[in-house]
Amino acid sequence: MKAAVLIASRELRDRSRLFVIAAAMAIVPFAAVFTVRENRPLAIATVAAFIAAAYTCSLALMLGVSTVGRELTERRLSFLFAKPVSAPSIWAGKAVSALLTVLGAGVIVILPAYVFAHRGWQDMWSAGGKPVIAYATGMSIMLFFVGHAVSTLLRSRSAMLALDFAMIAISAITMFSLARPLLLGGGRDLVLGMLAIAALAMLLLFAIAPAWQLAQGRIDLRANHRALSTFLWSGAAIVLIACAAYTWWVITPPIDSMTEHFAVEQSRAGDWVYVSGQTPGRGQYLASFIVNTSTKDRERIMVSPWSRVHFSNDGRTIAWLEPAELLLPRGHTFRLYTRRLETGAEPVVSPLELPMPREAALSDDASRIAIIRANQIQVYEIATGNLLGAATVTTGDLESMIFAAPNLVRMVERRSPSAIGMAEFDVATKKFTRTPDRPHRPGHAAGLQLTADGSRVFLRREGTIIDARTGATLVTLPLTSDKPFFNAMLRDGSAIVTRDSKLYHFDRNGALVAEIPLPVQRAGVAAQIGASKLLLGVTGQNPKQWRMLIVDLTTHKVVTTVDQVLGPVPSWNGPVLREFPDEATLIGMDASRKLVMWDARTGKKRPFHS
Amino acid sequence: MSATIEAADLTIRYGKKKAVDEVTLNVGSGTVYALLGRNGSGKSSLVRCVLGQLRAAAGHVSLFGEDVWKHRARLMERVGVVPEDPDAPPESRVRDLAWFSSCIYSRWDKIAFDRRMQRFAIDTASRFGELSKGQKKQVSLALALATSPEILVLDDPTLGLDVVARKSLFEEVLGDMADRGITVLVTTHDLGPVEAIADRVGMLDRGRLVLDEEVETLKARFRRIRFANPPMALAQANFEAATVRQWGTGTEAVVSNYDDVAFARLRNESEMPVADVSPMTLEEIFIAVVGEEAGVRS
Repeated sequence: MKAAVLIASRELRDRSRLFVIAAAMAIVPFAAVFTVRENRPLAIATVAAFIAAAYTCSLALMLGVSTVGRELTERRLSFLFAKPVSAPSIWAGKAVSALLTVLGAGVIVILPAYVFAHRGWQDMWSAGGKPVIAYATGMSIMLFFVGHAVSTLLRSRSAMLALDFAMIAISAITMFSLARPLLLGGGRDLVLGMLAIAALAMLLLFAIAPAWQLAQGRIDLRANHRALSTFLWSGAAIVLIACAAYTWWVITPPIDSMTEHFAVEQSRAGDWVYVSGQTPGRGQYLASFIVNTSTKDRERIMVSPWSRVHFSNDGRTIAWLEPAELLLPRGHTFRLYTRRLETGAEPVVSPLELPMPREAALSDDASRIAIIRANQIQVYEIATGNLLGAATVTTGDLESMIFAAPNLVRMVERRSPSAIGMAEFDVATKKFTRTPDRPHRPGHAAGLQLTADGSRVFLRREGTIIDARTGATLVTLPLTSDKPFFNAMLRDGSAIVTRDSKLYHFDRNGALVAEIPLPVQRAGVAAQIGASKLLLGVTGQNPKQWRMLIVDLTTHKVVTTVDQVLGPVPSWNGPVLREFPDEATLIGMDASRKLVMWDARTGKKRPFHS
Repeated sequence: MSATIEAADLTIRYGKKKAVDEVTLNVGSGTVYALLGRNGSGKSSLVRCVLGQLRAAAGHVSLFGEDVWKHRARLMERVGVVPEDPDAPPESRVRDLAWFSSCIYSRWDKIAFDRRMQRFAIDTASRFGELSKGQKKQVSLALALATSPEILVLDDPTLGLDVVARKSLFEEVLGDMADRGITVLVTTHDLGPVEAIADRVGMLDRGRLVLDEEVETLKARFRRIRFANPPMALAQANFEAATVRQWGTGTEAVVSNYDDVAFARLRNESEMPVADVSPMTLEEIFIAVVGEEAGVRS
């Protein structure tokens, strides 16, 4: 300790010229008096802060590069090593003196301006100037330590330098690889925190590594390089291992620890459920799982929170998109992942790069994808990325797109603010056809619903069902807008309207088939159950009002009621009403916002995580 | 006499190159040991290793019986060093260097340092980098001696100095030795003054210690013999010739195991017309041992 203080003291004396230069620089800001007419104190303070920041940073770099490296190169470090002084004391003394020189020089530059233009400093603080000083101080410290390390490595001119560059590359790639799953899971806050802690740990390593370097290398430049590299990269490896452990901990939360559910989707077959949500201590990171409600198999999958998860209509595949550019997670190209809904199956990434997910549709078996790109509709085979067919499409925004058949893609286009139109592309013949424009009130895609075969389009706000091929009106439901209503089109083209506490069932020709009383007001259509049942849901701010109903359209009765449960809710992921089998186990959220499974036949609930 | 400096099977490498190759040497307490060798023979590397500044690839070095690599900082309290190239910070003033040393060494002798500075006529307000080469060496020596060392290591202390400066430097060392009887390890090319003070000498040749002996013994066994005949007779007397060369019409040989009795017998038996048998200086022995014409070394 004493030796370190003595070394620092001696070196500070030797660097007295740098303080003289700083004093000369301290006069420069006052030249602003002659060049600025308004708020001269602020101008003086700003110039002083800028000069101080520039001077301290460049001084820190210069001292970092020369403090030990130059003495090693010029064989002058033996002066201290021939004395009863330990290597850590040598480094501590040199580092302290260098940092005191840097910070002292900065204070000398600032001090006159601070004293004589105090009001300017106050103005600058209030204008956000404080962080500049803090950043300059932090940057100076960092430049000193990193400058020393880089100087030692470069001065040795050793072949080990190649190894250092390789380690830098490996560390960067490893860090990127560790950050990737966190970013994909929306844990940007975690990545920033992890990077900040890793950077601080590395700075600490850079600060203490030279003590080890000098203890092991002493006056031998190459031995210094070897010791420094060994220490730094060993430390970096520990930091990376810690980051890897942290990343692993974040991305592998147990499913039953999930507290906030971000998305819950259920496959058409009903067996598989996709759940994503937040877990304690993991910030904004969203964990994603697929769970088989029959076998209780649960598997973690990596899905971005901004990705759209889609179950194929055959219920056998889950698909999702991830941004192709990780650093621009809201960029415009995505990669498509598919995973068979089988225990132990691995996700498969398609070689395709896709545009915005809104302009894409999956075939029922998830083997094909249709996308709109550069005024073209393109249909690809997902596994190979082969283009199966393409055609030029006319202008217009896409409202909905669906595979009506493996070789037939149907679209609803928004052709103007007040008109829509239908179009279809036959993949086999490469033929693209369009219907004439049809007036339609401006609205969201959710205002449209298609049958699973895409043959009918339900304009829900108007209560009109049209032929998807010709655009001709098929049915106009007798709706009035005096009271709120919900509606949906079923698989067979018939339609449901709920209003007040009544459910109206219209056949595919628009004739009223049944009027069924409901025990609740304002129930929305969530899904079709089996051949003849309907799942209705009652939402609300108060979870105690939540209720799910199953209505038998044959007997015209409510057959199952589940209170204080909401879900499955209508999917926002497709234009087709979802369907579940009669015996499906359904997923919802209870009043305490915990996931529950309930039996579609009996309405019996049980905890999801049981 | 216990060994103050001890090196055992010491090997120093720079990459694949061996600078010092399995050297073993012992320097007893109070001994003046002159380590000689040509440029690049490994002297400075050996000295740096002895000072714990350079790590040996193999073998070990101890000072006062302690491993110098492990306990360097503590051991340097008892060691004064005059390096080959003056290594003090050039920006530091001489008085600051003295102040720094006085704070670090518990046995700092301020009076001795000041006296030496007066004797060398060096202004202590001068910056070290502004001094002449000779003055730098003098300051380094004064700094080293003022620590009251038990071991003084002089690594080529007279390199680049003029005759007067060399003489002054060695006088200082001799004076201090007379006062305290310190152990000295000196490497030098300046063999004249060393011959006068060295008790023992070691010679390094391409990293190997080819000779390690008391100076008096060394000088006693080395002789230059000049004679008219070819040198076959030398072998009959079991003389080992370090060098043999033509000398006029005769031969000059340096023998490394000279013995008066053996030589008299040889002369009588072979009726050899001996022209001259002369003792050799350390410098001449050095040339014979490690010079271009060196043959048998010991």
